[in-house]
Amino acid sequence: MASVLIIDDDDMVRTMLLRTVTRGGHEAFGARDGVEGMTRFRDHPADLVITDIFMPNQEGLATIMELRRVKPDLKIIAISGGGARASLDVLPVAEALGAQRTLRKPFTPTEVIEAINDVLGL
Amino acid sequence: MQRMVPDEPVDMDDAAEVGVVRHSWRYPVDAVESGPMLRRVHPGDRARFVSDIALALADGPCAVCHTDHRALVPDGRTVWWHSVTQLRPGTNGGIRCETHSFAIAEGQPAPKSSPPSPGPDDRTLLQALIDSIPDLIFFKDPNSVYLGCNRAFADFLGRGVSEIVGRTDLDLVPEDRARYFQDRDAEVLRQQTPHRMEEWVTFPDGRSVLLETIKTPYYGPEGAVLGLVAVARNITEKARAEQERRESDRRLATLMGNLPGMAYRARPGTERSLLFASEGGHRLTGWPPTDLVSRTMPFETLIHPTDRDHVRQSIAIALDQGRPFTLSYRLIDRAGITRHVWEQGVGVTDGLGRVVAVEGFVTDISPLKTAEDSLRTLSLAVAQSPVGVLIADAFGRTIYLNPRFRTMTGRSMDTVPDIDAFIAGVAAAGPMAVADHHAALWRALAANQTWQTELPGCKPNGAPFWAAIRVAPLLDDDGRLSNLIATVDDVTARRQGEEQLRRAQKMQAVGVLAGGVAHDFNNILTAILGYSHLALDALPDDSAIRDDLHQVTTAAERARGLVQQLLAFARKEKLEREAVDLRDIVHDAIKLLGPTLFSGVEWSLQCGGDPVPVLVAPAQIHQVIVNLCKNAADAILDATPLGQTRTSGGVTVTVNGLTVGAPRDLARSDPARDDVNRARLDTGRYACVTVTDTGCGMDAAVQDRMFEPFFTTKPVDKGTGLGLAVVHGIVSDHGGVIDVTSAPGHGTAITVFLPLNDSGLPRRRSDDARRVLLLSGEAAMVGMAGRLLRSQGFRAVGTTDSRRGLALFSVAPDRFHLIVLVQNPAEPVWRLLTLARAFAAANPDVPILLCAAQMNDGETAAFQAAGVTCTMPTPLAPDSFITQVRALSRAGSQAGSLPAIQHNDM
Repeated sequence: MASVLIIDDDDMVRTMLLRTVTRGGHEAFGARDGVEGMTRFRDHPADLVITDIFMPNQEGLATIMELRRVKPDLKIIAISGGGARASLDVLPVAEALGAQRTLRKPFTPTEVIEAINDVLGL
Repeated sequence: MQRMVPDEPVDMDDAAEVGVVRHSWRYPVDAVESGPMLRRVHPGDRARFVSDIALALADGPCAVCHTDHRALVPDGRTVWWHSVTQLRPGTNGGIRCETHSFAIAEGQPAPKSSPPSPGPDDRTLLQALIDSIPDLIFFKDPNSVYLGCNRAFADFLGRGVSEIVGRTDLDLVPEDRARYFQDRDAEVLRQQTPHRMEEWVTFPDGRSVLLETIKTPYYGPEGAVLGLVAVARNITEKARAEQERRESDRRLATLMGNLPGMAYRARPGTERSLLFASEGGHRLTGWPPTDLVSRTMPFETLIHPTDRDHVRQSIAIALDQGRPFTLSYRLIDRAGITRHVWEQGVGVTDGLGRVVAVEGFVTDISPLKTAEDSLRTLSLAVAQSPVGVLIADAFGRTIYLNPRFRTMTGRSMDTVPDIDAFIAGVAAAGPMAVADHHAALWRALAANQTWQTELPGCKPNGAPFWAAIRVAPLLDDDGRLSNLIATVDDVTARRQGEEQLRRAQKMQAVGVLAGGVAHDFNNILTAILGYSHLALDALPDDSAIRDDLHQVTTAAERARGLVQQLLAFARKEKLEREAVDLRDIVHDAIKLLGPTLFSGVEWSLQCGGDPVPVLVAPAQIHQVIVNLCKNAADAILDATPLGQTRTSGGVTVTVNGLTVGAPRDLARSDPARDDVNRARLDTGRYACVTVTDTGCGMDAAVQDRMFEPFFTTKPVDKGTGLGLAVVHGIVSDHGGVIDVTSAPGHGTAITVFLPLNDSGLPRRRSDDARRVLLLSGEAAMVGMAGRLLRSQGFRAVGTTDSRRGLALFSVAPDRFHLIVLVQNPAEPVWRLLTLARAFAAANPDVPILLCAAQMNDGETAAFQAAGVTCTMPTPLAPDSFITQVRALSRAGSQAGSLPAIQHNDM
């Protein structure tokens, strides 16, 4: 069982992910943006962070880099549904910055669980 | 000076002085023979004297008789007297005589010019003669005493002759006038020359007349001045006529001076030497009229040489035929300017019909000519206008129709009697169109407004076109409708352009929409998909709700496909281009599509052996191929009747290069369209991908809209209507063209023409590709930055091993244009400094870009000292990173011009 931090500003998505991860047999807790995510992470370092990219306050790429600085070997899954500038495909960048996996929204719970297990080597 | 007339003979002075009254007698007529008067008359003339009085008495009681006779003077000389005897009724019923005698010559009787002895008959005749002359005649002695006058003069003064004779002007007219007359008289007598004078005088009846008076002295036989004789003539009418003539002359002169041209009189003949030229000739030719007349500048020489013969001949013919002539020719004025002139003239003939002169008028019509020319230009412009033009009167009746309208509609003026017919002639709907527009047209015209519409028209060959009709009112100076001008223009091209623009805008809108909603939409779909999966997982396998939830996930999957297409569509123009072989992309795409898509469909890929180089965004062209292949497969499935196996068709994909020598029309271009609007393939070299299917095919209407976003013929659950729109957008962005050949039931072939990349495929040792050595402790960073740089055309050599990187560089530093050091979050600053120094030592000419976490001024200075050219803070922003790399790698190729170290804040 791993500890998973889920950062997404969309309540529906975050809640769905929390439930999916929980049902997948992991411990899960959430944050609404990068700032809250960093706070939660410092309080409770997780084994894996699933983070959205486009979020208010602190967006995902910065969060990934900050997380990597705090914990270089942290497992990260970046998720995104695209931003207001549709031309910007940020998931490859997230990967370059250290995310082990990326998932393009929308995705199914199965895909999420598979990605988690894959990243954690379970 | 009053002169008394005594009752008895008064012998005043016998020392006779010519012209002066010497004697006056009053006596009864019957005492004439016995009276003292007769005793002074020479005995030889006494009988004639008596006889004169007797004759006068026969004329009436108031008659006057004049008698010239010799008289006896006391010193014994014989002198010639002139005696005037006035008869007058006496108080006692008898007739009394009053005789005034005065000397008219001394010595011997009258000179031979005068009758030696004018008889009483002669005198009477003479008086009758001068009385019958309407001019005023009078004569005076040297003292201005009237010696006689005619009746006209007496009438003029309103007195009898006898009241005048023996008196002076002082007795007859107001004193100032009298003095004036006497002064004139004295002058005449002094100068002894005739005097002529004119003066206005007023008759007793109130008439004012102008008298021309000639006073002249008269002389006695010895040449002595005896007095003056005057003839005064009423010249009032003549003076008035003269005045009028002068006024007329003046008017004529003024008129001719004001004429905008030259009035002339010339000798007949080819030379046309001018006898007279009006002042206007100066303005016309620049030469003063005197020069024109004096032959300093003969008029003939001013005529344009080309026109001279024509002018001569025309005038000669007209004069010959005795009719006026009008001519238009050119003059060259004194300043050398050519003027267009108009001349009218006529021959002046003498009594025998011979032409003695030519009179006429020449005027400058250059402004008119200019106006005429511009009018001609204007009318040519209207006639040759690319727009059909009709000019009508205020009632809409045709006055003019230009040729363009005829070619446009095939109708001539005969069949277009009015504006309604004009509209009907254009409109495909014919008179029906007029009925619709008639009221609106005239309502607009009544309000002095232009009416316009666009309607479908029909050309003579039946080809449809869009006609823009405008009808404008032309107003006269008073603002009243005087004419209508109607134009019809073929605006098909513009309408098509608008339609294309509308489609392009639709595509753009889709892009904006997609970018805007995709993020939220994906979140929503994630939730839908997620919760339905969660719900499915929680349900027992035999739950009846499972199927419902499956429907939810299926719907969400469809939505996911739609959003991805939208994003692909919206993303299209922003991706970087790479030089690749088109065959590779097609191979990859078909491999990706996999066997599932083509199950039941036979397909083949035909590629030549030669590379087909293109400069494209590979992912986009990949998408183009995938979309075209999916469509082709769908078309085959659609063409397969339900229940049959899906092996009735095939898809062929061919890739090849093509050289187009001359522009050629595409198969999908509509032959009815104007040339400018045909889709065509320009000259050039192309890379072509053709996807051919044996499916259901498309009709023309579908082909027309097939690239429009959201247009689909597929069932609602299968097509998004974006696939071909994406294809179209991507191909257009690459400067490519798409051609379609299709017919219902005969399959479809879609060919994508992309510009062939003539610079070919990238060479390994490209001179212009900048080589960047990328060093970072983080493999992910090396990977990401490397990809980023390669996408921008750089050649990136990346490594996580600093020793290996330094070794690579040291072997051949010249191969690199830039060194990029990216700080690993855990990496200490001293290590980076050491590394920078090592690279700078190996070759100081290659710039070093250091990407590190925020550093203080001291650290920046330390890095600068170590040989770092520029620093950038991490995390890296891709845009500014690439910009910086590009700038530095260029600078590095120019040794000695390295920029100073700089620290760029993000």
